[in-house]
Amino acid sequence: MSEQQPDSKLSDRLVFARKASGLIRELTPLDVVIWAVGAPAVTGFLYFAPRSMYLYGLWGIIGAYVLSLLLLLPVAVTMALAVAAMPRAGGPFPMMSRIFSPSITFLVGWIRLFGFGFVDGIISCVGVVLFASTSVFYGTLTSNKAIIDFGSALLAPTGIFIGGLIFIAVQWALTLFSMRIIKWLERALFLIPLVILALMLAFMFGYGANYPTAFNSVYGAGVAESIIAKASQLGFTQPSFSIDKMLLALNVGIFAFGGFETILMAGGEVKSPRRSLFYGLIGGLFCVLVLFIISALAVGSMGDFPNSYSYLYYVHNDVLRQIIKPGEASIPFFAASAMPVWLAIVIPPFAVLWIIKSLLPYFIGNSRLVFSLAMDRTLPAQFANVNKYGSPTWATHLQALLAIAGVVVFTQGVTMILAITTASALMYYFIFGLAIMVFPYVRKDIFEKSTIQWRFAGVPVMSVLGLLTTIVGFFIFTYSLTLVNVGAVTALCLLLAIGLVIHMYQLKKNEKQGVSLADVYSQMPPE
Amino acid sequence: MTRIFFSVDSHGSTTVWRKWIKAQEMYKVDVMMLCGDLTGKMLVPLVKQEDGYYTDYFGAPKVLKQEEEVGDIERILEGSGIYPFRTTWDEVHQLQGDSKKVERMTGEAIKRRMTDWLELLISAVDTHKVKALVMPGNDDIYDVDEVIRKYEDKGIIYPLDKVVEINGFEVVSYDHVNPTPWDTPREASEDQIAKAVEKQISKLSNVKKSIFNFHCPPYGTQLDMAPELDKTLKPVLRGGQVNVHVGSKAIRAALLKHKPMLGLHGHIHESTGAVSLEGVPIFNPGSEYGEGVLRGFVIELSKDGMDKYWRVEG
Repeated sequence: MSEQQPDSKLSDRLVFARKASGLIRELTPLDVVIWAVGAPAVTGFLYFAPRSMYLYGLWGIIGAYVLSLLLLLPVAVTMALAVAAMPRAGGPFPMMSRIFSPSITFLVGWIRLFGFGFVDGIISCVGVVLFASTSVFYGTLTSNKAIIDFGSALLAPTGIFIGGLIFIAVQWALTLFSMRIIKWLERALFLIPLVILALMLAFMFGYGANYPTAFNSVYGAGVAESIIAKASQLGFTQPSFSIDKMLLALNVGIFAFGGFETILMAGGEVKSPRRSLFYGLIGGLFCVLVLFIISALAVGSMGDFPNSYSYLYYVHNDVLRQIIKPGEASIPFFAASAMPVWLAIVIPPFAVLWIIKSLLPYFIGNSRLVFSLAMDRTLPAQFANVNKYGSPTWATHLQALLAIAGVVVFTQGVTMILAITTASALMYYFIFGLAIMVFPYVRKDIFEKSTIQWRFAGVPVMSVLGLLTTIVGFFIFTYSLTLVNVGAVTALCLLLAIGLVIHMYQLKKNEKQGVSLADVYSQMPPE
Repeated sequence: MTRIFFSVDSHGSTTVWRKWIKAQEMYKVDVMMLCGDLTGKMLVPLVKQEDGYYTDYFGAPKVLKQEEEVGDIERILEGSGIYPFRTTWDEVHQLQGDSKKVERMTGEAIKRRMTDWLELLISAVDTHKVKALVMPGNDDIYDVDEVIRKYEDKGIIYPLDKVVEINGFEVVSYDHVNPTPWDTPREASEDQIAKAVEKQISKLSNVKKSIFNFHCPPYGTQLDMAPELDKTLKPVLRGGQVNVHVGSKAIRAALLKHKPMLGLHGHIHESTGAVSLEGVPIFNPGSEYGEGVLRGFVIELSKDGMDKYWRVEG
């Protein structure tokens, strides 16, 4: 009798499935990577480094990105393993329902919902700013006053508001009516901007410390030097690295990675979940980090100019306006000066494409969260209605309303916005972590059927990861609370109250229809 | 008052079956129904080696050294709807090249488990007092019907091709579904489904007091939403899963035309719910057999029709 372990090429696991078993479908790790990269892509790549470097310094920003990844890594690993242990549509939420009550899961889901709903609106505004800034620049480059005026108008609060609404309207329409188009649109929107981003970074690196030359060629001789001099005159000094600054920059870093777990909402369809989700998610996060660092280095390579410019733009905007018609500090804005005119024309539309590509996962993913809460009867059933394209209609409308609220909130100032969204979008990490920590003990029946039963010194590895996730999640949540003011806290409480009222209405409705959530999740007696 | 416990899609999970049997006791039901997709989909070999039994089902190679460990793993696998079998490496290599033998072995395992289940059912439930309807669905091979029918004289009700009377209400049943991507044993075109269900409905004496126990849910409701798949059977992802309606238009038309008292359905595990289709209450408990979770609806009928219902899960 021959004894031989199976050739790993023959199968993933040693099983024999019936011909018509419906178990064939799977996600590849590459699918997971693309989605993991897509959601965090915008602000971290294009916006945060140029915008924040004058405060925290290059190495403070990079350090914050690395530290953010290290903080989020246990969260990502735990999420990937948890969804692999119980693969379901809805990502980690079905598991939380099994461990805690559906009402607690609803609470967590609702907070996450409006957190990411706001994020969509905020990034829409950021998109407007990026587009407007690059338009201002392009108008300056080609001496086209109409384009300059258009860009400047968009940069005004009213312009940002209207532009943000337009971005939301585009997402709304795409989600409701063109789901079939989105599939190829997503791929094109990923590849084309990635190529353009690579070009922009290459030109920025190419100029390096000689960047003022490029800037002057557009704005006039000596303009870059006068910006640097003016900033210095007003008390600005180039930031040096410090641990304090790096820790302050964490708010930016953590927010930059937000949305990486959107792919887990579709975790139910994976043949080898442990491999696809785990390696895809972790691989995607590291890809994001590399791209963030490269973008930051590109800005940092340009010498003192970017920080001086950002300082004037955000702290003494009126002074900067006396020198030039400014655009918001961003990779596209800086890169545009470094590129030939005929190539710089692609930058404004690039900004739009990249924004839309990154917004869609938030928008669609959030609408799917509403859908799953409605299917679970914790939100009214109408939110689970779908149209002929497979899009949940009312869930999409709700997401659009939240995004519009995000546009409104954007006008309140970036720090408070980041605080609200970080707190609400990421609060569920620590509750999720707690659920996973107790999962092997509270739901042993599910745990022992899962493919993730590793133990370390007798303790389930999932519990250890859950513990780490709880601590990290709690740190992130309470850290973000240090940045909010009374207004933001009040707004958060109001939004929470709205969700709870809706949930209570649904509980009452369930009771009237004979659906009791307490009974729904009751434990059957022993066999 | 007549109380029904309705559940679906156990897919071979012994844990779900046992819980379903226990549920009739817990909820004191008069009728227990487990309808559609009774059988599992996978054989998992536990391969005998010198140092024990080998399996890699849980993601990493594992050798079970004690008989007790092997027994535990077999129970866990059975609870998830899997058919474990003890074998040798020679047989494994043989099976990897012989799909017909795999199908044959699967069929035998299915029939064995179904027999064990029915034995357990008749030993635990007084089928003179409690009506037990057990119906196959689209995923079940036809061999399983023969097994269920053998227990009809012991009180198990095989509901296909007949009208089942429950305290003055009539139940008609149908097992086939509209075409799926997996070419399951019991699929039919919409025309065929329409003709078949009409044939069953024509046997009813009072449609308004009847129950349509059709495995396939009606198209265009919250009971028939499943992930959209692309040509390679991968789920379509756009910021999350895209769900589309996959139910039967013929079933929908039948429900709307005849307006029975209620519709009981299964087939789509993710689409659990109780909704109204233009005044007709329809139910799909959904399924989480893989985790050994029983999902069901308790439905109470009075002489006037459906009184109340509630969803249970455990």
